[in-house]
Amino acid sequence: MTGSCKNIRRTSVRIVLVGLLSCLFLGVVGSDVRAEEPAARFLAALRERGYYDVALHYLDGAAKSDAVSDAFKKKVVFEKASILIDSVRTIRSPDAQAKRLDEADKLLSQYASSVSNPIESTEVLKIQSNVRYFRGRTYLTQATDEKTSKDGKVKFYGLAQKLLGDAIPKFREVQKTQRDQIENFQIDPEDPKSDEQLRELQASYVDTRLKIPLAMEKYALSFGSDMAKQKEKLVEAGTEYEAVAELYDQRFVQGQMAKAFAARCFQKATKYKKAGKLLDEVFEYPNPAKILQQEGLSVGIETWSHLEPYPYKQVIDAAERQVALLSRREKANPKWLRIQLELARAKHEQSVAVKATDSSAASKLKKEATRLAREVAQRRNPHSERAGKMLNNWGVSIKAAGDEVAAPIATTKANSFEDAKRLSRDLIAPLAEQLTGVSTAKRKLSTADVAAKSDLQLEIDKLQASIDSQANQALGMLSQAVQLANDDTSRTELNNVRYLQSYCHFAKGRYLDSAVMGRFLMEKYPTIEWSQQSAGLMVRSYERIFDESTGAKRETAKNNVIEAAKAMMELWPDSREASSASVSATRLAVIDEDFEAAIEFFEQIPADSPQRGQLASRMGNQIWTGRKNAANDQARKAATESARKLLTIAADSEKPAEMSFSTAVSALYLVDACRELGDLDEAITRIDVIRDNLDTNEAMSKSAKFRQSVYNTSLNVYLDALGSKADAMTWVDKSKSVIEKMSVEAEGDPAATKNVSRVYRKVARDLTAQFESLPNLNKKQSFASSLRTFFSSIGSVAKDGKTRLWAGSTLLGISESLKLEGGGEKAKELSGEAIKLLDAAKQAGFGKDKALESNYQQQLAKAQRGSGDYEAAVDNFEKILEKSNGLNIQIDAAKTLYLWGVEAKHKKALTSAINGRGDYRDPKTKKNRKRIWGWKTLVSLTRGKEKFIEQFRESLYYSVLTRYQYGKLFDSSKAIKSARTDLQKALKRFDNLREGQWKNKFDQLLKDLEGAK
Amino acid sequence: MKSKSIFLCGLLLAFAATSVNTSNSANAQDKLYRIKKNGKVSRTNGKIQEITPLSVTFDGQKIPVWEISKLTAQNELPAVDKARDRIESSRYQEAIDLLETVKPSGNPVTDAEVSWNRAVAKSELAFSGGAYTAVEAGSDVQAFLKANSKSYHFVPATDLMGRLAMADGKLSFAAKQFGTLTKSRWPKYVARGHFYTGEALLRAKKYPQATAEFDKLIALSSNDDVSQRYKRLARCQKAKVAAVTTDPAASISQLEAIIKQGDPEDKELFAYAYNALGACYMKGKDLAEAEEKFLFTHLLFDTESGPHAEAVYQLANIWTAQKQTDRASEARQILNSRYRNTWWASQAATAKAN
Repeated sequence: MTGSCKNIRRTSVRIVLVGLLSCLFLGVVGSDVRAEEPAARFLAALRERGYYDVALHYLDGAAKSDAVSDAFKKKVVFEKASILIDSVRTIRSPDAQAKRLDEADKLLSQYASSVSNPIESTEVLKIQSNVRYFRGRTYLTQATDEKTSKDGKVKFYGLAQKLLGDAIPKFREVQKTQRDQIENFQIDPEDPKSDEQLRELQASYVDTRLKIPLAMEKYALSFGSDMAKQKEKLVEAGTEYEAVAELYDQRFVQGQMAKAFAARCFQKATKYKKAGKLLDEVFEYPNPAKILQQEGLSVGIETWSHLEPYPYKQVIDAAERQVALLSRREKANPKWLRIQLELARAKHEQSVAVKATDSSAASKLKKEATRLAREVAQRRNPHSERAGKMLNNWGVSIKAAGDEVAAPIATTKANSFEDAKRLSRDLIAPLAEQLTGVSTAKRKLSTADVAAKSDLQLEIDKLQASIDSQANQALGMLSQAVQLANDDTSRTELNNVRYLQSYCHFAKGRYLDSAVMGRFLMEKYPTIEWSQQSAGLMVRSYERIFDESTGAKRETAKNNVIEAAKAMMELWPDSREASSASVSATRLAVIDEDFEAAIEFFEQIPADSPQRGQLASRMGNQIWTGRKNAANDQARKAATESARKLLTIAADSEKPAEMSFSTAVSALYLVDACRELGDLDEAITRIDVIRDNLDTNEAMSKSAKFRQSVYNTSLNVYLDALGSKADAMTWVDKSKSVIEKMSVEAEGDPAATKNVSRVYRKVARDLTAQFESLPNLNKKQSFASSLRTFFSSIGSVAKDGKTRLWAGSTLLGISESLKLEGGGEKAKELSGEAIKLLDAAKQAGFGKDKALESNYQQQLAKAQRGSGDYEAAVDNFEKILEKSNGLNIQIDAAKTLYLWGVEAKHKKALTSAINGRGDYRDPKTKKNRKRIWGWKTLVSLTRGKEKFIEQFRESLYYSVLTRYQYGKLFDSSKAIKSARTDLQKALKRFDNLREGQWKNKFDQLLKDLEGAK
Repeated sequence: MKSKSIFLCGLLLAFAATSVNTSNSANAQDKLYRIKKNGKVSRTNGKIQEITPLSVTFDGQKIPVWEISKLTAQNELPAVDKARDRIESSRYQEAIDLLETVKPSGNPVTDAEVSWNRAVAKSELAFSGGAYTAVEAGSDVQAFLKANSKSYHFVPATDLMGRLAMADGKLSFAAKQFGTLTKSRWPKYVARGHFYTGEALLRAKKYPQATAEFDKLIALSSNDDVSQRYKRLARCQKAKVAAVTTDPAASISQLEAIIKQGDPEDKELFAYAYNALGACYMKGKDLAEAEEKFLFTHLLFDTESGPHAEAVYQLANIWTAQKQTDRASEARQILNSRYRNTWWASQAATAKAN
């Protein structure tokens, strides 16, 4: 359905497309299933060729065939209806068309009754409504046909009115149902297609919304001779269009088109002022679609001429830019020619209006008006006669004086070979400059605004016309030169003429002609002067063909460039032409991602070639980004090495302060490549250079995305260094400065803030992973000291609660891990620091973010536990649980009680760890409960639940361990016995307990219990 | 019979194992490009010692011909290799022009290469309806076969001869050429030989012999990819023969089963299967069904030139019968432009003449 949004003209007039699009929506034309007849593809091929008869025959057979899939069979009726609708355009007789559409309608009704999906069902209803609309419109066309008799007109208007009258409520029903469906649509987060389905539904809704006034407009026209009724209905349709425009004109082209259509209705209803006002709004849309401009201008032409006084300013404002930007093909379109003629009229009217006050401006305007009208008059089109009359009224001729210039130089007869050559050289001399002018203007065109584009396009057209004319004359003269050559004419002289011919063809854009001549000279006369230059032109020509074409032609052009480059490198290895050919061949190979060939040519480019760096950048960037698709690690490493080599050439080809954006990207990729290949020193040097120039280099500083990437990469590099190099403070300082910059730049920008948070999480993950990968406690303790410094610095730099919370909780995680490894003292130290960071976070505040507040409380409790302040930690857990309960918080709370009991030999804490703590009366159930559940409750709540298996293992383990520790600390053989029995029973009953990390834990615990008295 | 004798003579001569004088220099550097198991080609420099239709002895090592991608004698002119490249990229006329510039060198290996590549280029031009007819190309191939009975191109040349004969409508001669291949002991050509012998006999309407040939292919013990491929195609063609001679209904079920079980990416198999189905319906005079089946090949599997030509020929006939003149003329145009020198184009021309 997306396609229908983009091209309103098609949706409004061609039911065929609706059918096809619906097929897509309904998933009918899907991919063929292996081991079945390729039915959908075959049907699509038949439709594409217009073999509707065979398609219908095939569908009849497919319904009963074993060879097609069941899924396809289910859609056979729908497909048949679609084929019938499609086939209507091949039928001339309106009666036969109606019959076919009736049949399609019946099939759609049949299909609708078998569809259970409500969205699909509504879509079918929409197609049925479209069928009615289409049929009504066909009758309307017949009614307005001059050849139709009076009786026939009455009959056709009646039929059109009936069908269009039926279509309107049906479209309204579809609209209502689709609106409900959109409102009640549930996006399934696990189904990525559901989001897409919703978008399709929304697009279809917008399309339906516009169909209603479209049908109303046609319905109004079906009142034919009853002008009063027609006008009344047209105003209704116009008002409906306005409602659509109001809803959607900021988002969809449909909305903008609706405004143009509204103007059309009011214009037809002779409400010209209203139409004119709406048109003003239409022309004010920024970057309007071409079809909208054309529709608006077409309505305008019918409106402006009825307004008094003639609004020439409005016409010029609306049409001038559009007409100036028309392509050659568009200039042949009668609709655009009509618009051009209206513009001519407006300019002429303005010239008359300003003549008294500014005669020079008036003269200029009149000239412009004349030029525009002449263009229309001189082309064969329905408006040429009108243009001729207009020019006649203005007192000017259809042909301009300049059209009858003196005989062109090409018709002058040259006296000798030398004479012809001299004359042609005179003609060719200015071409180079003009070609440069065209190239420069084309380059500017891509970035220019609308007004400038208009001027640039005019300039390009003018220059190209002049080039074409001069090149043609030169070619005529060169042809004379060839004829005048005799036995005394040297091969070199003739070669020069051939080269000039080739150049003229190139200038005219006749690239194939130019290439053929170049190829001829290279192959036949490689040792003669001018062949080398011609070959250079040949490569440029093939390259242009490659850029302008598709498919086999493009492929052939590429092969030709490559072959020519090879030949030229062999024939004239050190020449400028061979070097340029290598550049072209490299470029084309890169575009086609043939990196092997690209590198081969690239190596032939001289080191001092200015294009070398750019090509290396392009290749390096592509190889780097594409290496993730490598088949295996070896291939990936090879790609990384290759990318590094090229990226180094690219990065070194420009001074960092003046680097272009693409080279800057290469330089950044190079840092990643160095990192990936383990060359951290090189990575550090390179990233430092980029950072030093980040604020001063214009290309780098402008792109927020690039800056973010620089920060991310810098952090990766510095954190690598923090984990592997001495002088931790250097890397801490560097990382700190990066994070500081990131945070400052992200202020006030929600997307950037989100990115900063993402980076924080990544840094936390990376550092934790680095920490965990260290081989022994000593190294971990040493790294932990660096991390402590790093995170404290972050805490002091960052001003927001979120960053500080992230720093504190990461440090806390490291501390807990260290404690488990046996580094208790250091862990305590880290926990203390974590508490400071968490306090700082609290001070900075979390705004209205309740999740952050709750996270803070949990982290704080854990930090207090880590620093040995168990009582405070347990109190804190109780407070947290008062506000929000959760299994993992309960486990943390019970674990805190256990640790308190064991470390402080606190009997009550150990029993509370088992039985819970913090009595309160539940206001809902009126029962006594405990804030901290304890292991006993946790075990019973998680037992036998697959979802909570991990929590069950943990709770059971600690439940047994707590009783074992209790027995040991307080000499209770009863507790030990009960722990042992419980564990033995549980291990027998639950065979999934001893899995992963839990196997060793449970085995060790059982061993300890079996060895204890 | 004549060609069979040529082939056997070639083999005998090969067994006589005459040493090939490839060089005047003691440091001869011939080059052998060998296809490795992973499909890549590696080059070895050394000396060609013996060439037979089934192997080349190079530096003392006997290498089967199916492992050889290219063989060049040390004095081979660059133009010969350029011509090979042109053939690779389907620029046949350029290849012929290049080979015209090469004078006989006196080295049998190089001279055979020139002669072989010229014959291949001319044949390909003939197949694509280019500057040469099948007869013209055929005489070059025949000349090559006569003069180079111990060439390692001898078996492919025999196959080429068969294909040219088939395009020219000399079905009996074609069947003999392909029959020779079945005895070549080159696995790929053995299966191919059986298949095309059957195909030539089918076109000559020698149905029992054609069936027997397809049966022989299906019964072959070899199970490599190429043999399997031809066996699958043979099943389609066998069903087609059965439909023409006996009951089309049974063949239709068989072919539908092939389609149901086959991989639609195997375009060659599907093209043959749909053409065979089309033939079944033609036999039953159900033109609408036949049209549909041939359209499958025409619209979805037109990259398979052999069966596509057949489908277009059949569609031209069906559409003519159905008085769909636009479509029929479009089909004939395809036949005349893309498949000018094929059996199917000649059939269409004959029908028109009659």
